[in-house]
Amino acid sequence: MLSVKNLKASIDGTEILKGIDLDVKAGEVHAIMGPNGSGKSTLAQVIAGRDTYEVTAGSVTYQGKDLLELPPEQRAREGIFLAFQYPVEIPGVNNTYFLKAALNATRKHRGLEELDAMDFLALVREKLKVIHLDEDLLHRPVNAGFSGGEKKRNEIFQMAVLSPKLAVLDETDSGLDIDALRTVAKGVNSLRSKDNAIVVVTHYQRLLEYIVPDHVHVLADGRVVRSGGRELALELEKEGYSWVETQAAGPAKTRG
Amino acid sequence: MSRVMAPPPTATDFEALHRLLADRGPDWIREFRAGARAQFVIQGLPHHRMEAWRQTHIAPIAGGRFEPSNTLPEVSGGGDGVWTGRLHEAPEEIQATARRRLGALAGQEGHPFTALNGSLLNEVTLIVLPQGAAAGDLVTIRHTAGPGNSLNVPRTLILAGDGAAGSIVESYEGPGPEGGSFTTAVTEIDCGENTDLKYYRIQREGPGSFHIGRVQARVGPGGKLYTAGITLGAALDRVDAGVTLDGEGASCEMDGLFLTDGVRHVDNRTRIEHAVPNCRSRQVYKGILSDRSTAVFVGRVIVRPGAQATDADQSNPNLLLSDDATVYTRPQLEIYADDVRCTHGATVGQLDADALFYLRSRGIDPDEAGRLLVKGFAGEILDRIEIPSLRTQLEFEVAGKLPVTSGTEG
Ligand SMILES: Nc1ncnc2c1ncn2[C@@H]1O[C@H](COP(=O)(O)OP(=O)(O)OP(=O)(O)O)[C@@H](O)[C@H]1O
Ligand SMILES: [Mg+2]
Repeated sequence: MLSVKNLKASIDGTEILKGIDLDVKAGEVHAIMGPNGSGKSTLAQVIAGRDTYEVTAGSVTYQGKDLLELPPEQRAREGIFLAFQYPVEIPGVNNTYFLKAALNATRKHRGLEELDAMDFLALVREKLKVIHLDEDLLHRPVNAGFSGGEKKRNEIFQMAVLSPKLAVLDETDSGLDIDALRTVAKGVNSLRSKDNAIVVVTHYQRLLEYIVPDHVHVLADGRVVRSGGRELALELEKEGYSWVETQAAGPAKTRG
Repeated sequence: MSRVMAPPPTATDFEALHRLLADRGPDWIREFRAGARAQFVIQGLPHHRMEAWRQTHIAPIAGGRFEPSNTLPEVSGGGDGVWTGRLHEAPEEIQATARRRLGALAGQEGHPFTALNGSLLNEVTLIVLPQGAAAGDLVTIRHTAGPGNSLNVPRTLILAGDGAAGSIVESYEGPGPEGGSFTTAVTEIDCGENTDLKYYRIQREGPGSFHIGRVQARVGPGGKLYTAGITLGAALDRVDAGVTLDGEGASCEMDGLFLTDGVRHVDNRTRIEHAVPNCRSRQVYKGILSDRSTAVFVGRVIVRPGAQATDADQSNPNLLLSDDATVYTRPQLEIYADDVRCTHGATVGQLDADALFYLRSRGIDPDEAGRLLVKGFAGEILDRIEIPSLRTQLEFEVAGKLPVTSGTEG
């Protein structure tokens, strides 16, 4: 579904991603871990189409298409969803209005009829139940004044409504209480299917108890320095990242 | 020597127009006009070497030939006991009060266009909310500039008795796209003790018109005044809006929203005077500028000696949708008391790139994303408008004026 090859990206002339390889197949869940500043969010944002990063080498293929050719809105309509590490507050733009515009843009692209207000509301109600998001938040401006946890839930709520094919969750678990974590995991798991894929960026093994990954990758200094099964996450939890510093300097050692 | 004595032959001879009116109407109005005319003769039209007019050039007004218009404002709404209409049709006792108050707030010194308005005074629209009047139906005053190069001198007097509550919308419209009218408008608002008044001023004149406005209000003890100044039209717009907080516990909130495009120019000058202790004022004027348009905001706050425990906030955020648009913004604080909290802030920025990306990452078109953000920016002001029909109407008008390709990234 997603194939990242030797991806290099820089910002203001500083190279952040230094040759990333990642292969995600439909039906899989991948976890990306790694120390602060290793480039996890950069990778997520480049996949979503943020143009502040300059891609200097490599390729990203999504469902056979050259993803780097597409503007961000086109990627979203093709089924890519990024849950932001830092969801943006947009004062004055109503959450429901925004979500309806987003959903209908995607539906239109897929040749589906746009949902009217009634059908949209029904869908929203159904998803609200899964995510346990306070309905009041829907009537407020997008993320404006939301608590940290509310913002993260709102990301997952949007994901549930937009039902993407590839969801990239950037530290959606950070700052969540244990109940919220379970709820978010439930939302993510309900998206799991043989046709969809999920990439979760996280610092904690805890989330991976709820969203069990097929593959775990460790990013350090803009490279994938290790890949493995879910047991790798446990190992990292125990040992931390002190070992990567020696490895990051060397060539990437990838398995799986 | 006065500057108005010898207008260029192609310009409007305001003096001659004043003389045409000289023997019209009752004594008091003739005296009023004569007094204002004397002020206008002393001051003349302003020019850009004057500090207060440096950023706004009135050459098209000074050099334009305008013909007096006789369109009358349409006034409606009100409710129990509220008097609305033309001053000379009011019952004698109301007229007597109104005559005394007319011109008492909007001083002419330093305001040549207020003097000009007075020197050509003809009709006065009068709104009287009697003492204790409950908030009734919305009062609307609609001024329509005459066609072509018309000269319009609307004058409004709003009197709110102690404890009165109400909402008033005053709008300036017309002429059509070809019109090059000139309007010099003055509105005075006198709010007594514990009043609760909301005043919405909407300028949506045609794209070729020139609009100079003045609003001057006074708020008595414990009174609350909310004003919203929405500027959507005219080639050139300048509004001086002042509020004097004249009794302890008085407060005012002044909202403003201006949209400029093409080569239009909008100049907002506010002046809030804290005359006594324990008053609060808040101003939020927001600008949205595109193309090669220009805007000015000068927000003056005066805290008089002894006006302790004054609380005053002012902000002027501007959104520039084009590299060629310019905004000049300046606070002017004159504080003569020591126990004062006074804040001010102005920002000039473009659409937030993070927000644009966030919206686009959800599948929303860049143009639509840009429009949403601009609407959101304006929304902070429009959402505070408590009259649903007016809010919806303005949202629609604002959306219609937004540039189409604001959100495209490079
Ligand atoms: N505008 C910028 N200019 C220079 N460096 C930047 C810029 N933006 C990001 N970086 C750098 O890029 C590196 C990678 O950042 P990124 O946000 O991708 O890390 P991360 O792995 O997501 O970290 P975290 O775990 O803290 O979220 C960091 O060292 C960061 O400082
Ligand atoms: Mg990150």
